[in-house]
Amino acid sequence: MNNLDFFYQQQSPYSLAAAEKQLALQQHLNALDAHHQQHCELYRRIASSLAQSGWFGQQVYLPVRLFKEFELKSVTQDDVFKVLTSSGTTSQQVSRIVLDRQTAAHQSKVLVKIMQHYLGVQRLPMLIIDHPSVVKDRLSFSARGAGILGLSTFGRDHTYALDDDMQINLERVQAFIEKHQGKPVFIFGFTFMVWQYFFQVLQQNGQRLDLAGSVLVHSGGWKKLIDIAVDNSVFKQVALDTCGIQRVHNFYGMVEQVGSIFVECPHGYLHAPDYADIDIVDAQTMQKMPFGQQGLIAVSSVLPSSYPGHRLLTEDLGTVFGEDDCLCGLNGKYFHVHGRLPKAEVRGCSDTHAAEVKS
Amino acid sequence: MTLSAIRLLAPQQSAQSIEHFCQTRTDLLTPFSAAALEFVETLSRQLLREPAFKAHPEMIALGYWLRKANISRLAEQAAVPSSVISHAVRLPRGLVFHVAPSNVDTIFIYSLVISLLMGNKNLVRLSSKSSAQQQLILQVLNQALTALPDNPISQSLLVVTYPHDDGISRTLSGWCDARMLWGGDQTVGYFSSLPVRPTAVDIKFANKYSLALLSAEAVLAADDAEFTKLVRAFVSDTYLFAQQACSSPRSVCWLGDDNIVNLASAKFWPAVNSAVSQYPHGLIAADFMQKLVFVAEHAIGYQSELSPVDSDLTLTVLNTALLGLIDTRDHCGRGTFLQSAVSQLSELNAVLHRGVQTLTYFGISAVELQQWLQAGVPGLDRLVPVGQGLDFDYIWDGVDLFSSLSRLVTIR
Repeated sequence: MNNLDFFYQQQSPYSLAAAEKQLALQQHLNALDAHHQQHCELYRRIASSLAQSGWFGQQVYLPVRLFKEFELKSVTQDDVFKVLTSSGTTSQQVSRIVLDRQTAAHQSKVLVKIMQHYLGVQRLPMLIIDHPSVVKDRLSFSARGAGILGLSTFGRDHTYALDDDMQINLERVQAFIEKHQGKPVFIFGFTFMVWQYFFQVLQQNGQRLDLAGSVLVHSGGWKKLIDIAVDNSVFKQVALDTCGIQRVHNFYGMVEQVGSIFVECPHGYLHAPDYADIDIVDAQTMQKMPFGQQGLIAVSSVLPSSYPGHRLLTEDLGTVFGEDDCLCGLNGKYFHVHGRLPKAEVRGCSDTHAAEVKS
Repeated sequence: MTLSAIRLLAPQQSAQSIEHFCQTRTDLLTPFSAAALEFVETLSRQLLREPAFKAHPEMIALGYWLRKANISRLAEQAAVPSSVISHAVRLPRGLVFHVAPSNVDTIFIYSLVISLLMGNKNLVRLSSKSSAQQQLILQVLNQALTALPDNPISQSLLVVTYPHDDGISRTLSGWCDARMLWGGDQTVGYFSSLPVRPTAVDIKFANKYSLALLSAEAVLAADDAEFTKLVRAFVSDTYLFAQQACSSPRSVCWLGDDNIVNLASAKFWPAVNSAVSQYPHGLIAADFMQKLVFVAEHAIGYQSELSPVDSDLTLTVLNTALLGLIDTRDHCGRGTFLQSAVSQLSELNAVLHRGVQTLTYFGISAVELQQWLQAGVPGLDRLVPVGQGLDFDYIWDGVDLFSSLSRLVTIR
């Protein structure tokens, strides 16, 4: 089940043009619909309930929240290879994503294909904008730790820029820069960490680092930055001003669809790779919206066969601007993420006390 | 113990300390005192006169409920029966500590007014999360108190707020003679864990679930005017607080045989759908997301199926077996209905329990309902015609508030 050779055989992860891609992708996703209906009873019940709905153009998109409430899996317990969990730092419940060997292998392979597109096939010296203990304690492994470990396979000579007290260790960073002078370097960190503990500190102290020629990859959401009025263009400008970094790639991804991530192109748009697709949905009608309109982000991926996560409705807002015609030249839909869906007001005979304790 | 975190909301100023207010019992009024009646009447006038309330039907409803004529009617209903009056005198309990719900902002006023009418002193704790409605209510309370500077009622009422604080809640609980707990199960459970005096009583209004019962035959037989009225009444019962008031029906049970139920359902929902599309329901994207999640949860739990009654998610109907009709755990409200059918009333008993409060009905006679209840029903607190789901009654959740907030002193 789930042979992805057709996709793997493409020259790059952004090869397929709309007509060919949609044909191959939908065929594959439809096969996954049937597969999960057959192997996941809970998914079958949801699909059966929605059969007459006409939502999402007659397809079933699971709200990502369901993975926090139910263990949705399409493999037997014997075939479970590992279970991914989301960070769960702010919310009480965490997502549980069940992987078998095949899905895990597809995730790694696709992530490699996508990252190599930006980093090349050689492993680059890697500067991690975080502190080393974030990956040390494997028992209380955070999503941040997992992300760093996952991306670490694309680098060598891993060097952590921060100490445990979140201060920049300038000595270590300078030594790293000198050691790899004149060679491309891979920098990775979570968006907020990179901003708060690296760029902003350098900026405030008037320090400048020579990281020209390096590639910065970052992810993790803009919410905290938008609150302090920092958008992508400000972020990039400060990357250039403080470190001379010219190539900055944000990416959008989630634990519910590891592997087929959406990486930002030089023109500032996130791109769907051949393995995945993105649609914008109007919450009130659960219908797909035309390009240019803002709505809920729905993501599809051909990777998940061990859990029914191939078509998901996120709680993020975004806009798709077009397909195959981005100025960067890559194929696929390109889009922006605007942030989280604003919360609904709690009404009714609700729990005053509970609500106050939580907040 | 520190009470300094308590903020006074009404009256705007108070000469006495909170402790003094709570400890003194020598200034209690008597049931239906002239002072209380005058205050309630003033409150009613303010509510019905204030233009800001025109947009809040629940405020207008409160204003009408507080009118002199209605209060007189209530006083009659609440009167001590003549068989008892010769040897019993009704007196207030003392200090009533009200813990108001965070969001159906008006409901605590009803029980507060009943308590004032019984002559009690009242300490009201409002949620520290302020809302526009809460502000309006405080404004009206304060206006009424200011308009009656000599009315002793101002010595019988303190409305306060404080951030969550075990110490304060424990102290206030220890001072009262009756505690009125509105809110969800968690709030009620939390306050219940704080002791009251051995002589004090708790009146608890926890989470409740409500449903509508419609006679399929009657819905099919209804003429245009009657049918339109039914649909409007159903919509205002269910969409006013985004279906999240305890007494808003969340399920619709049809009474009738399958074939006529199908016909009635096919007549009913499209009409509800078009009424809802004109109703200022205020649902936003996050609400629709909640609904999608609930549709999935209910399908997982009960194998229910979404009924294609609507092209958008403002109205959502799930067909379910009777067993899935009442979902007290996950139901998200926001215009979501679990739909099932019975051919006789007694079949409904299988899914009723003490957490089920209101049954709104259409096309079923009072005699039928009486007979059904008298044979014994495991749930339900009130049965009202469709359209009266959100009306307040002095008997709430099976509790007669007039008698619970007073005491009878017997004399032989």
